[in-house]
Amino acid sequence: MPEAETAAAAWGVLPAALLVTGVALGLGWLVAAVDRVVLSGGGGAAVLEPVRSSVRLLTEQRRTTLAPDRLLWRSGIAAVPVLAVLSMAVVPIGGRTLWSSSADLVWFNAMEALLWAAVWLVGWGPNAIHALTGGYRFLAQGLAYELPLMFSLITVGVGAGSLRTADILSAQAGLWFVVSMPVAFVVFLASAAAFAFWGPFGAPTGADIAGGVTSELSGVDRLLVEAGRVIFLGATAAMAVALFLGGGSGPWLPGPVWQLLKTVAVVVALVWAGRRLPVLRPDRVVEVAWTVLIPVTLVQALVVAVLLLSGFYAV
Amino acid sequence: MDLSRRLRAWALARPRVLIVDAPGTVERRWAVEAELDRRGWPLAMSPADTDVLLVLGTPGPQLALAIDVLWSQVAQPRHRVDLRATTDLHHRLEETLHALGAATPKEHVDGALPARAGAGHSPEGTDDSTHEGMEHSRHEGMDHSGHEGMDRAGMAGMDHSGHEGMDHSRQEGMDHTAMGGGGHAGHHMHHGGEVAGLPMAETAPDRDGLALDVLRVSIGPVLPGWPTGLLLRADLQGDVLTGAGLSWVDATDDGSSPPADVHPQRAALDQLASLLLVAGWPTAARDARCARDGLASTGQSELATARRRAARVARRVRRSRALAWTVRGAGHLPSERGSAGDGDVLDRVRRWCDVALGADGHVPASPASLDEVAAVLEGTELGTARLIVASVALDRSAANTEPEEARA
Repeated sequence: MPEAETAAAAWGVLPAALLVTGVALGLGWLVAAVDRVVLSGGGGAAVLEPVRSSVRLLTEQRRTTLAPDRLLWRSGIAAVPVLAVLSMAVVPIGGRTLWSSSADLVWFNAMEALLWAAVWLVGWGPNAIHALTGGYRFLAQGLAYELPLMFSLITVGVGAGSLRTADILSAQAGLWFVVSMPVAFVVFLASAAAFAFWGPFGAPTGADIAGGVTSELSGVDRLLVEAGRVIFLGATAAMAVALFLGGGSGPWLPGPVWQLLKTVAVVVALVWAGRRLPVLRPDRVVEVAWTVLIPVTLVQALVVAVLLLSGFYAV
Repeated sequence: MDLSRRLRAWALARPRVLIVDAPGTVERRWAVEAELDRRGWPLAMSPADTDVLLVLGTPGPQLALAIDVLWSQVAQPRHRVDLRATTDLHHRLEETLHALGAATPKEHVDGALPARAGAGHSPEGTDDSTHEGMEHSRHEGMDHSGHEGMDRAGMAGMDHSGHEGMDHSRQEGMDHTAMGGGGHAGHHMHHGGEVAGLPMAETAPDRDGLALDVLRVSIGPVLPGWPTGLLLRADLQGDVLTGAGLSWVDATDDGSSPPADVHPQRAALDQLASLLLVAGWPTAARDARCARDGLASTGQSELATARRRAARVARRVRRSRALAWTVRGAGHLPSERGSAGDGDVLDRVRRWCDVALGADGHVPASPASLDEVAAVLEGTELGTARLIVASVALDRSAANTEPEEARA
């Protein structure tokens, strides 16, 4: 089956890895640009602002704090973008993933789960109260979104009968998964905002704690964390297209173009919707996540399982 | 060479600005924020996030000290602007861009930083704080509220200037103060000892009776969406505040802050803007600022547009279920003071919205006293506490904490 061939096998490991990194940066830029346009209230010139900010941060001095935990701080900072790019390894680009195993979805989830440690360390490292508070908030938020996110991923796995991204894509040849799994789709996108601690789930970097986990970051450190956040958001939007919106399938246009269009649409919708809301406080989100979202995602998984047994999915 | 300079200038053409407004400069701050919004220069969240430090008016001695501390935490390249009047605002901002973009990093270093911060801190700073540091270790179990803050930061900075690079030592030192850091002045020093001149966190029973780390912190006097000059001192367990006390820095010279005679509708929109910023709703905060700035215009059509904008943002905030869900129940002020300030954060937000709508019969809430507000901060999370403070009108002239007491 040619679709199952990985990008690394097709083009060589290094070119494929470079391609994936390039796509990751492109997606990050897309998210940051759309976010900037929404935040500044329109104006196409805002699309250049992420580039401008990046150049500025590259020339800016790095700062440190009094008695920081330097090793853990710096490793947390570096881990955020690295994990974001690694999560891209199982996101299909032009129908191929960088590498593939029988547990692609688990890989994606694992990268995001490791982010818990990374963000916590970014908050812990500088030995400052606002950053530490941001770290606490991220963990509290993680408690809220992690289980619903896992259940929504499992739902996709059940529907496709496989955890491999390529199999999930081919399982949607007849009908996109979003039709039978709307709840999982919404939960997946909301979780994306939550683990990128962005928009309504931006409490870990809230203005009320002077920027939280990012409050002590300047220069390249800030650039790495901010880039990691937007790449994670972009990667999740691209993953949502693969898992729920049929990937590159569509009439007339070639697959990669469809995939790009759908990804842009998901990013725009996500950013537009997210910026219409204030930050939802983690303590209240946890309550709703456990009393509402977990039961609802479980019911969603049950419905999909019953549909599978009744032969609804052509697998 | 030329290319790299132009690239630098381009990269720094939208600098992030941290505004510090001395008392009595409300209208000037609005003018500056309007100009920054027009230019698309974002507001900074913390010193680490700052390119330009913009000081409005003439700060009192304590605020000036805090500003020096903040300034020392700002990473290069940076520029400081002291703005006494807003008449030449456009010109001053253009100058700022030029100074940021054209200068090499070296020229920045011998800018204001060593001279100001050094001169401001070294004589009293070192003596004072060494002394205090020793006091800390001698008198165990004493309440040291008031020892953190600028003195402590000054001390830390000095301690470190030996073994670290000049610039870093300053930045490190300051971290525990003005903006954010909160000095770690734990008060029961039974174990732990000190790290880098700061006492370790101690443990104490939390609100559920479990033993938890406790840190003595001071928050303020400069934060985004926070009344400049307000200082919150409290014990922090996780992110829960106990033993909170509020005070104004430079509380004695209240001559410089005459009772504000400002447009009530604009004041309400300004209050909403900072509350929405704290609530993490930047687009609504931007709209509120925009409406506030438009109401200052003289043209009839601009004024009408601004009124429509104000009505739109006020209705949007009033009707937001997400905001209601996330802030409801926080900060119940006792109702004995009449109807002006009572209710929770949500009630007060809605009252601000009514004033912003310009409807008749809605008078702005009378200012709350610091002690009342401090009382409802007890046992709240840091985020809730910030929302509560942002939801009340605080009156500087009603300052009721003597700075002497705070420093004792």
